Amino acid sequence: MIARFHYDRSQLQAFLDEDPSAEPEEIQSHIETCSQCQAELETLAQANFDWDQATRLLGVEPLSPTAWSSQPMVEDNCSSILQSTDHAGSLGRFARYEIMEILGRGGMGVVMRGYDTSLNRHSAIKVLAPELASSAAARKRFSREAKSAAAVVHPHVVPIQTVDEHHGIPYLVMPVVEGKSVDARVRDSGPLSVIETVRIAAQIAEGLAAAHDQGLVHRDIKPANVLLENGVERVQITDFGLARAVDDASMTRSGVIAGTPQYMSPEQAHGDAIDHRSDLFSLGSLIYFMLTGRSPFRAETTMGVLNRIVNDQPRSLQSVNAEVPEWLERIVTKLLSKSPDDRYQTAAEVAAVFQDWHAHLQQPDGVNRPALPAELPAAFVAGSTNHSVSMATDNGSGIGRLPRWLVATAVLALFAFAGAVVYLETSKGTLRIESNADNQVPIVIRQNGKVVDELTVSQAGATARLRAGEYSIELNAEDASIKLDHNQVTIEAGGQWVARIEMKRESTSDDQNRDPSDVRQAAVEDTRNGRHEAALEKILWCWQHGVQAEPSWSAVRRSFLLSDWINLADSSPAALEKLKSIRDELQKRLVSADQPRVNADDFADLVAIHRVLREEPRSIQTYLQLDPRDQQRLYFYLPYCPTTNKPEANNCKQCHRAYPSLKPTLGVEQTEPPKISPFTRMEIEDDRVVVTFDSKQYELLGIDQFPMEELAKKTRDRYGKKWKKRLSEDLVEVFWQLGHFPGETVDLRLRSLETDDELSIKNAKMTSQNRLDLYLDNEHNQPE
Amino acid sequence: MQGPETRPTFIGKLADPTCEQAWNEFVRLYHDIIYRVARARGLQDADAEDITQEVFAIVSRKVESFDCAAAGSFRGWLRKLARDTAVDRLRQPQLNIGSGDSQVRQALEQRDASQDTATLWDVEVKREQLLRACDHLRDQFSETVWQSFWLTAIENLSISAAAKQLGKSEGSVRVARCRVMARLKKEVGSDDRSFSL
Repeated sequence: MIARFHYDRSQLQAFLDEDPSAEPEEIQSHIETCSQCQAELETLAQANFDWDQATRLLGVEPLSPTAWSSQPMVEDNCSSILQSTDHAGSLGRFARYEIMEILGRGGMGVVMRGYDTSLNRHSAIKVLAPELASSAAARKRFSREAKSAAAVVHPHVVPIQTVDEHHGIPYLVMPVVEGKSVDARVRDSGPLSVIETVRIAAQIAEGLAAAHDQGLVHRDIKPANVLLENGVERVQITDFGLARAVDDASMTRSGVIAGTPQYMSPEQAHGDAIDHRSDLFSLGSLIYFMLTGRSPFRAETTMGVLNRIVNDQPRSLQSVNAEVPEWLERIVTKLLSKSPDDRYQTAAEVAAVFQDWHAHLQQPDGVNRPALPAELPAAFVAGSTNHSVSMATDNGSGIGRLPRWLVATAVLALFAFAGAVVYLETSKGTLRIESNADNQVPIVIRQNGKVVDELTVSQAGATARLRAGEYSIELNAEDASIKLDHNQVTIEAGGQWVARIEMKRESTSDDQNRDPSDVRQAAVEDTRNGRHEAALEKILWCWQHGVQAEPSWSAVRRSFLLSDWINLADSSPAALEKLKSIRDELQKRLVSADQPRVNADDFADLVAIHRVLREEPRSIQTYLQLDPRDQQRLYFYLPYCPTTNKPEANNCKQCHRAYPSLKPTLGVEQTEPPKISPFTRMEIEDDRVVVTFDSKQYELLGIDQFPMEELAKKTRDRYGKKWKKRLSEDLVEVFWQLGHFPGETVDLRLRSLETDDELSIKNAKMTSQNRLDLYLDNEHNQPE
Repeated sequence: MQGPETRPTFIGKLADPTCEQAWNEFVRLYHDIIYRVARARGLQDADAEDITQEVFAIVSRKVESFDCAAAGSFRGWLRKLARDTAVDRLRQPQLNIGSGDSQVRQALEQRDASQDTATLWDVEVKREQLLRACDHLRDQFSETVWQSFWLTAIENLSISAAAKQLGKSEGSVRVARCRVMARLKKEVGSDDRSFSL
């Protein structure tokens, strides 16, 4: 129906002004069908207000300090670094670019499509994330790396046109490559054909060779960083050298690795110094991905991935994709050699190999089949006595970027050989030396030239206890050859072994001095060498005594140690049985009727074991059998909400609870401790702590299992001069650090300041309102 | 020992109950703003919180010098003080660790930083204003009417897509959108109802 009349402005304005709850009237049904009145109405509604700004400001979720989970990437940073503009279609202005769209966000920052009005062209602008830009070191590093990357000019490297800073935020400008990344391509259309893979690999290797010539290592070769230009399918590598800039800057809190390490080389995973051959390993992983659609080293956790990169051989390509020819399998295997020395030595060499094969594949008759790469030796043997072997060490001088307990392998010592002298670097332990000679072999152990120990070794063997440090071991054996097998050195002469030197960790009796991280590493080593019983024994020790020996170990125990345990269980049924029996024991203890108040640690252990055994529903079953008061304390540990059966990383909308303990992998996704408190004020004096709880003043005697004195001491040990601030404002964080996860309630022991009575409050609620009150009235607890 | 009732606290200094109410309102409103500006200036969560606290501490100290009896300008005074304090605090050198740069360069950077902070501040105030207005208005409209506005005006969905999603005619989406826009405009513009930011 065509409307025959229209309302005038004042009538429309009156309609807009009326109470929204009023019943729709005739005027509304008319406007809804009359486009002329709609247009008029819109003019009225839009007038005198900056709707563009409103859209920008409301269009992003605002950050809130009381949020339950951390937000590593500030969503509204994009709008906050942009200035307003009149340019049509622009989101805002950054430097001399009109920003047309946000192309992506990553660990390093934001990539935007910008239009350069002066040059009349589109560019990709990469801006260092503002949280990283606050660090002067990160800014300098970013600029420096970007500038050296800009020096690489090659058809297969995305050129960097500009490196600059805008209002203190460094950025770089690249041309927009219209096309997909290898990552997107494989995800969209599956693994690539052999010939396509070879073509792309050859071009990547060419690009790498050009960069390596300039002394630049990419460090982050992965499918997402290789772009395939539309139409011509030209391969272009992006993000040269930038990984390093971010690496340093993002290691802000307690050594968390940002991003997925699936394409790292073993030396990177280890935190060692790397060279250009690291990129070749990553290229091997990338080729593996192109042919199979998956990366070669996959695992549930970051730790698992690192572990596999360092220790495991990937499944053979042919077993995943039967079309992969033998020669390609061998090339990839060579690229994926653990030792850089065993890989191709230059990217140019790799490029040449792939070019040859590509030519052959295109014209099988016209171009000769290139030589088949040799099969690699199965095990490494040191051939000559002068050959020096370097093995990765956990205390080496590399760029110890990974925290020590993160380093996946457990190689103990650095051995190098010269003549019949064995140099070794070791942590504390026992050196065991056996001899095969008929007569006794004299052995001298020196440190810095000084004799530490002199031994005569017979067939019965001898041992020497050593502190951590570097030693040389000299023994008299002519024409000896030396063989290295894990942490055992065998010295051979005349086809027979003469002596064996083995490094042993501290014996198990010395419990007080054992560092559980060392024991755990030794267990990993045992697992790898097939010593299952020894591994299980060590893991059990860590499980039972780890936290006692090293308080900060509480975080390791339920995650990494259990993941080691599962690894061991893959090859050792006994280890699996043991884990299951511990699980059953815990289960029994938790649900037995005579325990109205169960031990939270037991429950957390049980949930962790369920998690690694992939039987999370059993956690929920057990939980549902508990006393409701216990449930109130323990829901926090559950893998998901028992009502909705859905994981709720933040707040479950149905039961209004958070389930943050789910899958604490490596801290990347780990939830922040909630900012809540039972108190509205806390005053820490020399000999007592006075709190305001429920509007009354008390002396605080203890929280949950912690007596106040102990809690204060531990907090001071951990936080230094900020301890009062942390204890008062970040009570839950303090508890988490101590391996205690109280959920939303705590038990308090208090003494009234008025009556001097002691009282005990069960399940005192912690709220963010209390905590905010405390936070706003906390001048007295600021660090001096 | 001094009890909390006698100790001067942030709000304890404000003898006048209307001032105390204003202060509480002020904290509630500005807490998130200061925090967000600090985050946008590149601070980590914990540092941003610390800054927020410091700004309140500084402001509260200055509150003493304000005569609450001197009529209704306390809010305006607080508003300006908060802005100045935050801008000032976020300009302090420990945030921009200078090393080896020439003094001129440093001075330039600092000026940039304070201008940036001031701009960010105004943006965040505006955002807070809009958020509060939305909070207040949302319940007054039916969900469909509200979504007609939100999807098309904020999330930039086309009228036809929104109409499809909501199962409404395009005309009714357009009208609903205008009704919310008009109210929101009024809400943000009104100074009398709430503590104006």
